[in-house]
Amino acid sequence: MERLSTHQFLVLSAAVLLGTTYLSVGSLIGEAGRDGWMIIFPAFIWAVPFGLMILSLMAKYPGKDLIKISERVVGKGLSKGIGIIYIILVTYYGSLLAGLEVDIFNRTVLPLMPRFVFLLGGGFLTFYLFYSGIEVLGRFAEVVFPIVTVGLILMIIFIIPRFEEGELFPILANGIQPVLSSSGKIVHFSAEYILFLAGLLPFLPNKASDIKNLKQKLYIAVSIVIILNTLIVLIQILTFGPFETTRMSFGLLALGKMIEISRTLSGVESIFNLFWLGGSTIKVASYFFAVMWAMKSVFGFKSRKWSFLLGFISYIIIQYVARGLEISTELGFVGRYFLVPFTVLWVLMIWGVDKWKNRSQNG
Amino acid sequence: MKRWLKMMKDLTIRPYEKKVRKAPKLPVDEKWDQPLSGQEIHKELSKSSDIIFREFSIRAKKEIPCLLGVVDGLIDKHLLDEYLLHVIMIDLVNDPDFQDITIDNVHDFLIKLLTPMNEIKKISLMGEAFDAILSGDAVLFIGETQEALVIGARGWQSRGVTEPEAESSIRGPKEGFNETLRTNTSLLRRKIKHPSLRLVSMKIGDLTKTDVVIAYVEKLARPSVVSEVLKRLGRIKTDAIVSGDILEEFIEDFPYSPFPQIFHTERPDTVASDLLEGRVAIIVDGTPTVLIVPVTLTSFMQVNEDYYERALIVILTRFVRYSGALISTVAPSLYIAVTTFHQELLPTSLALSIAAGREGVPFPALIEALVMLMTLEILQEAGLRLPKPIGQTIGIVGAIVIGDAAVKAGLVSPIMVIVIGLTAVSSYAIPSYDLAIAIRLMRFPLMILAGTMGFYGVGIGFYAGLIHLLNLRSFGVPYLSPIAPLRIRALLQDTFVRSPWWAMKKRPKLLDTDPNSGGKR
Repeated sequence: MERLSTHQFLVLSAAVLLGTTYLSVGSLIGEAGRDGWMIIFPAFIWAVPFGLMILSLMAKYPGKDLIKISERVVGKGLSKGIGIIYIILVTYYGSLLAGLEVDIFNRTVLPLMPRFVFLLGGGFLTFYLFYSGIEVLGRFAEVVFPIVTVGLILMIIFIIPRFEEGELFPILANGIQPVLSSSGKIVHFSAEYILFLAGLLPFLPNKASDIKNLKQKLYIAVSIVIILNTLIVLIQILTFGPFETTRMSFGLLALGKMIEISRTLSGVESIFNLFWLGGSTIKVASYFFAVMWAMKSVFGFKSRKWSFLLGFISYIIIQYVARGLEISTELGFVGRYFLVPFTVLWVLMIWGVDKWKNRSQNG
Repeated sequence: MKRWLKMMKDLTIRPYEKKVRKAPKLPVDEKWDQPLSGQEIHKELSKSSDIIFREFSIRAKKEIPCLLGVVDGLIDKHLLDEYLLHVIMIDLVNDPDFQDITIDNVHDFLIKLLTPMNEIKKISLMGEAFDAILSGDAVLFIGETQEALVIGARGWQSRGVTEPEAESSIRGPKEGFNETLRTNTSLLRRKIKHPSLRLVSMKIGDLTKTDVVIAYVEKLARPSVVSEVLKRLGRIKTDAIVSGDILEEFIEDFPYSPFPQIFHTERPDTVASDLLEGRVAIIVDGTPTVLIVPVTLTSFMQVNEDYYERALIVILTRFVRYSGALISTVAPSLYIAVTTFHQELLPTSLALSIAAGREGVPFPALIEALVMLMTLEILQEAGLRLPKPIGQTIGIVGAIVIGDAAVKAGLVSPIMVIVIGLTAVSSYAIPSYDLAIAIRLMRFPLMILAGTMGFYGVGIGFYAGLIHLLNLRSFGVPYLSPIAPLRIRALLQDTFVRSPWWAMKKRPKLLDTDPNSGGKR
């Protein structure tokens, strides 16, 4: 049985939670305007309580994912239903996300390249990671996440000369309401991670001391992601102003185009795209793993051959369901109206029923 | 069709527990476990001109016929004459108990008499006698008895302990291993004078019967690694191991990976250091290089001098080496990607100067780079196999004359010559030849990906290579450790930088040895 270390859990969690959110989060600040950098904290901190609930369930049911735990807590029938919804939702959402990555590369770096080339490249990396196993994905995240982080920090440093400080003030001029309202629109980023964590449980260390450690790592991972995303939104607001930040689909890529390093390199967007490719590979692969684990738990599909079916379904969704800006809209729609309610209901229900059962058993 | 499939399977899948090449079945093989007979041995071995049998007799109360078998060239003649033949033929006669010697007690009598010889033992099987004679020992057969005496008198011409050519150093010891197993083990024993240094012997190869010694330090080497090494060596079933390097392909974890998974060295100090880090060394008779397992990718970027120089200097030299490795891997592909797809990366002045250089070049950057790199590979290969002075000439002719002519003819742009030159020079900064070759191999697919998909292709190639490296293990140890899985202490102590010796209070947890056992190297 493959196992991740607590450090790998930290890095993988941070990498999946961050994913490629930094590319599009700027465009989602909406009505928060110049206070848009504040929407990150309430949206992402949400991952902590739900993560802690899942980890506390893991301590009680070691070696089982949340679908199997659901089976023990609420019975086979209901858990099968939950599992099927999980598979459909994560497959669809994950495929849309992969489609978004294809779209980003197609629109920004290589506009003349046929789409299937990007699909082929991304698909190859995802399959290679899947066939290598979760341990390799954990190690991949250990290498790639620091690269992505360094890339973001470099971008922040290089863009400093373009800052216009006036864009940031006054702070909270319209009160807290717009901030909370906008953060609600990106809360699905946390839900994405929670759904991945639900499947990851059997691969985590499950000794009592490890679980305490995992909980600490969860805090750290969420904090890292909050800091990075907040900085990214902040520099976009400082550089473009709140209106332009909202208008641009991928503000970070536009920032990349503006960077010039000592009259030697200019428009380093293409180089930074190498880093973002790593981040997106982790995110897409993590969904692939999550769906395959769920298929194993619900239908008992153990053979890896089913991954080809999943790959084919994803291909159909990427190629024919949505393209261009439609993908972002569709992702937001599915995220807000399906992913978040499903995650909240599922985790709260299982955690609550388990607690209630415990209490009634203990008298 | 079945035959073809079987052949393809034979050529592609490494067998375990199955003979790789069978030795011809000889009549002598059947006699291997039979009781000893001097005459049989004499009859079998005297067909070879280098094997000498000498008949004589001990004239005690009853005459006892003797037969001495040795291989000319493998025996120390001085030892044989002075301490064996002289003792048996002259000193024995003067012994007060000489007249009591009979065919029954002659073996024990001789063992007592030949005490000054450092090795002497009794044998009773045909196979033991064959092995002893062919390994260079003298074997004394007495009468028609089914026992013989093996007298250690090995001595042959061998290369001295000299400085290893491939791993020369400015500081540190200048001695290197040679082709004699015992010299090599003694060099190691001189470095680690502690009973915990274990040397386990075995023979591999049905025909060559090559002596192999597995060295490790007990309590430092992980027992699972030691037993895995013994297991993998034990299951090699082949007729011949003529060099230690052949063993590598039999025991490595991933035979189809271009990356080296076993470290080679000719330096006793390097082997001793690795043993003290918990690794296992495989010493093979007849080979001056010792194999070290398990290894990680970063261990191929370290050289023995890193531990003799001051820590601050090592930080710089390692930075140069890692930069060299990175440049030599990606420089041509980045150049191709930038000039073909991402010209926006270059400021106008630089873009114009590159465009001016490429003006008139009839090939796309990918073809230009492939041709240049192929030429470089040919020059390197040619220079390696030729005698040294001619090799150097070839290098100069290739680099200056052909390069200059190609630029003047407008076949190649000057900037391409610079990129390829930089790539070649950078690859020489990689201390391990095995790793440098692997990187050379990686360069070509990366260039093709860069030429067809730009930076996206480079990214795909880079991440695919990374996943491959993350998949690799050397005897159970992840190949990219201590980077992934992260081992902070090992990473800060001795990976990209080296801590000062006084800061290395604990061993790195790289190989899961006891980290509190103190000291390092």
